[in-house]
Amino acid sequence: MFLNNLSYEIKLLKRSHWLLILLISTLVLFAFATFNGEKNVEKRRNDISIMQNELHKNDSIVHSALTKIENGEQLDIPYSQLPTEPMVIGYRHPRLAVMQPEALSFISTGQSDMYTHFKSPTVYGNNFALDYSEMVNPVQLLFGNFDLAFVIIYILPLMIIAFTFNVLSKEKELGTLRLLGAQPIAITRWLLQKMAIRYILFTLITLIVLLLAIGIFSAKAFSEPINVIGLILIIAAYIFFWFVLAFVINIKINNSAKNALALIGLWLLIVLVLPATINQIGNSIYPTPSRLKMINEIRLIKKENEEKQNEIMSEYLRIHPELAQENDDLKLGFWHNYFASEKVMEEKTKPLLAEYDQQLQKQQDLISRFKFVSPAIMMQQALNKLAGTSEQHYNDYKKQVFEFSTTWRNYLVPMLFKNEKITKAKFNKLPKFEYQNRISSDVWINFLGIFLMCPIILLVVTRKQLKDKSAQTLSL
Amino acid sequence: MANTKLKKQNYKHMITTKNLTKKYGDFTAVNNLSFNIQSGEILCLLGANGAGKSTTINSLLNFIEPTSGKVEINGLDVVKYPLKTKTFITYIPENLMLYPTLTAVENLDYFTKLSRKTFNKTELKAFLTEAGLQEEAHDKRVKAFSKGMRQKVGIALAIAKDSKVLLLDEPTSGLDPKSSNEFMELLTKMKNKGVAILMATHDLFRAKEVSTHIGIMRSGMLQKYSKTTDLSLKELETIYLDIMNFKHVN
Amino acid sequence: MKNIIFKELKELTRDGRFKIVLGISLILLVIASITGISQYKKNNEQYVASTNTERTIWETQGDKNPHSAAHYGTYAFKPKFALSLFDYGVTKYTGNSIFLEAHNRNEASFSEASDQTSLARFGTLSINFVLMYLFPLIIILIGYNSYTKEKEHRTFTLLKSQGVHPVKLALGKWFATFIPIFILTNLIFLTIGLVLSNLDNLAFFSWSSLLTLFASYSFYYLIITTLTVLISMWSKSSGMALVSSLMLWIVFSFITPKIATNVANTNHPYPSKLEFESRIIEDRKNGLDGHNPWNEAAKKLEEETLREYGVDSLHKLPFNYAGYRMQKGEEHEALVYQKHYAILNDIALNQNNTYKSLSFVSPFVPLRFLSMDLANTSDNLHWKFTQAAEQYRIETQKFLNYDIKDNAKVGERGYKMKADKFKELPKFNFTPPSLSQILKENRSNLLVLLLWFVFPFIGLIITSKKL
Repeated sequence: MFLNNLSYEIKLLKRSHWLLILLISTLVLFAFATFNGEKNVEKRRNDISIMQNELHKNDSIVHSALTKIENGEQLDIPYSQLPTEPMVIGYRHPRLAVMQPEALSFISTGQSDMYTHFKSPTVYGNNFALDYSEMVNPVQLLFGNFDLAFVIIYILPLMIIAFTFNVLSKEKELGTLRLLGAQPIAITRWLLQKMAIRYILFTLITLIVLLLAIGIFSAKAFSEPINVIGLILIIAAYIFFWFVLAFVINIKINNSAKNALALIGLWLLIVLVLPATINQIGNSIYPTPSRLKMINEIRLIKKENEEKQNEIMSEYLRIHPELAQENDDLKLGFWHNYFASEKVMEEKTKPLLAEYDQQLQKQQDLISRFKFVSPAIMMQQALNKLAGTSEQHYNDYKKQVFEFSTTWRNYLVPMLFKNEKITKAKFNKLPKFEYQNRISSDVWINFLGIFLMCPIILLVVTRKQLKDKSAQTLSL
Repeated sequence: MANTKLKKQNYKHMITTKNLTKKYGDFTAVNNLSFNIQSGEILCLLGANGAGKSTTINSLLNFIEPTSGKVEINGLDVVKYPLKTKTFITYIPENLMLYPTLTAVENLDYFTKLSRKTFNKTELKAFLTEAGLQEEAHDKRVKAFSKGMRQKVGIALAIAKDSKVLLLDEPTSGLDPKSSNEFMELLTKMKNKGVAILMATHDLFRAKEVSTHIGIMRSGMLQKYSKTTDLSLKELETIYLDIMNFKHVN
Repeated sequence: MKNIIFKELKELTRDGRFKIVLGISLILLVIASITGISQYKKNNEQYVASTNTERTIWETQGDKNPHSAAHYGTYAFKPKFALSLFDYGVTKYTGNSIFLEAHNRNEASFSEASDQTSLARFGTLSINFVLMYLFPLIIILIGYNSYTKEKEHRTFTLLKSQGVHPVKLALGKWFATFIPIFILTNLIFLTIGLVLSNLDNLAFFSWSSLLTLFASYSFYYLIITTLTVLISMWSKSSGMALVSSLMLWIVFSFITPKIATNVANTNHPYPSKLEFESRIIEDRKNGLDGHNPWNEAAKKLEEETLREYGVDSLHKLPFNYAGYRMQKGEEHEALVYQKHYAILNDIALNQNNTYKSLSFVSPFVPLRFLSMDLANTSDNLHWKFTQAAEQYRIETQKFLNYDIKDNAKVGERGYKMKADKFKELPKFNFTPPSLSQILKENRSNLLVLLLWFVFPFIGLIITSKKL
């Protein structure tokens, strides 16, 4: 029966031009989305390289200045900007901590439009409370991007609905179903086969077109075959989920117009209403801790700290440490006090920030537990993780930058106190930041999550119909 | 016990209902209906709309489950063996519909394969010809087919499947007289091949012409059952009108 | 025509689907309102508390060097507006607090979205979420078969043979599609108004803004109604009509805004923050540095000042020159920021114009902008807030620098401002633009919405005659 169904299903689909419509629409959507995604990544790379070029430019100026100094030439630079001073390098010439896009970043904008991808932690200043938000028109964040994630999460289900909503009901309305029912076949099995065939066709077309689009616009992605396979599998699972829903609705309702409405209703629920409601309710039950309160508290600590600092150092230099010069002994005394007081400040604010981060983490964890309610959410999480644009990636990037800022300080501050100068050789060996993607992709968990939902839905809702060898439950 | 007895007989009881009753809530669609149709017999069920004819056919196809009583095809309980019994049956609904974008041959191919029988194109064409479908229509899409032409494809299916049972629901309604005649000839041919045929119809004259037995149904009950040869058309007409009028008087 | 409307409405009340959808929408509205109000209350309390705490911190600094106080700075907090619980707009994506300090203009920091998971990107259930996304769907559900069902049940010829004027028939069906949603919208806005006007501590609530919102949404529903009925007229079957209407809905509310984002981003890209900052640093270098008397611009200022007061040495000036130079440096920095933020705002405006030009593809876009502008949750409002905060920052710096200029002795290093003087600095105050100003700024949105109504409506009348 399967081969027979297969050959005739393809014949029927071809004659109704469905395959052509499907092919063209997926081609247009995927190509456009991949193109857009790649363009966003390109802008990110471009922004990064602008900053890197600037750094290179500055570095070569520093380099030539160092050469001149080492050659004993006189320089026209104020003392507070002399590149031989570790603090000058540490504050005026920080390194760039860059978060390069991943090979699959183009599939999902994720949180990448909100956060910056480069930071320059300095030797002093609040490196633990850096602001990572990027300059962006908030309207863009509100509306979102037309990327592959959007096409896959929102549009693909609609195409599946259009492709499947009347598989059975059409037979009923056409009248062929009674004839089918009189054949020695179980209609539910026959429908299952038909759906399976359509599923395979749909998934094949979608994936081939997707791979084609990626190949044309973003071929670099294939350098990470495991992630590409993960992407393929999770898309296949997501499509499968929607086919299962369509199958259930076909059997349960079996009227084309009502099927379509029911499926659109489910789409709305899963893709739009549930996520928005969970988001709203979740944030009401587990609110993010107040940033305003945090600001107040840090301000109080800072005020207290400044008063203490003023007792041990010049107030003027406290607010403008880059101007610390005078003679070396005085300078060292100042820096000693300065870093000591910064450390005090940091130690006092750290628990506050840590508590805040903990609360935030807890809140985010609680919220993310809800993801299993809607496959659309799971899909979004999985795609963001694959793209390296999830909130976890950015949280980890912040952590890495903070770690680097410690490295940076620990490299330069001892030099300051040992009264060492920066030389050309040392300048070339400054610590460098290397972003590492340390977040494991949960594709497999989300894949399982979505995939396991399907048999559960099937068994719970259509248990009776699946057992039914005759056609009684379909009301022919 | 009845089964073993039947099997010994020369003519098998191909279509059997025993005290078949189907209720929809308070409404009784079929009430305690019993009949047998043997190979080579045609039973015409006459009756008005809602008399229970279609319900009977639907029970035989296991489209609906009997409230009580039994339906058997070739001695097998339809409810217990829904798929097995269907291998013996060809069903031609009142308005037989096929896939409009497929040709006659393709449609026939598809449905025979669903019955786990495979034929090559020449064989399929032969079946269609035997069912009376003109050669030039074989490779045409059935979108433009008339009801009569579609029914011929249905008969071709019965021939191809080598069906022992033919269930027909109002086959001649909406057919022009010529097609109607052709169809009746086909039925007679099938009967002579030993097929047991159950036909639900309004058409008294056709029924008289083609059937071996006639049953008249009203309110789900078999009011009158006899051999066609025992009744003249005149008699049949009187009985029929009588029974139908009785309903109106009630 | 009354007859036609009543017949349609009667059919509707008997439709189970309509009841289900209505029920779900109402439940969502209730959830949105309850959570919205509780969040609003909490946020508003936080806002009031933080503003007061910050002011207390500022006022209790004790005797302090003014420039030191300038570096310690203060915060400007964005007030919560009453209608923000109707439409959150971009508030989740913009920060609510700006640090105001010497030398630097800071961005608003800590947006809610950056503290939330990516789940937030699916959108948030708010009252306007239901009104903007789901209500048009209800209209489609009511109206998609207004004509096709007559065709399918073959009652259309019967209707025509009754001598009903086709335009009257069309208007009847049009009204019947619109009225249920219109009544519902009336009730919802009335409830919102009543609830809001009874809330305590409500800032900037005005019935006229709410009424304008109501009018905007109703008008949008008129557009959707007209399009739905028009599509029903054009379609051969109910299925086709439904699919076309739904497609239109998706193109309007999802696809167009997202494509607009990509187009805007390609044609008018924002600089990255670091790039933006480095451009500012570059410009600042070339100007006056309030701390560096050897800087070229500083030397020039010195000469000019001496010439102006007709003296030959800074000691002889009638005020403390260091404070004066500091203020001049601050003014120069403020100008640099002003220039760069103006460039940034131009990019934002260009981007928003891209959105507006795509309004011709989707009436959803102008409604979206109009709605958040009216609710004081737009990017436009945020820009006004940051401008006001910057203005306040400049004033604060002037207040502090002039204190040095006027009160510090020449060459005095440890000068301290009297503790009481901190109280003299006026409080930061931000009032949102008036309704008439908002409407003036949204002229193009209003116009596009009007066109979206007029043309389909004309189409409706013409098509009805041809059927």
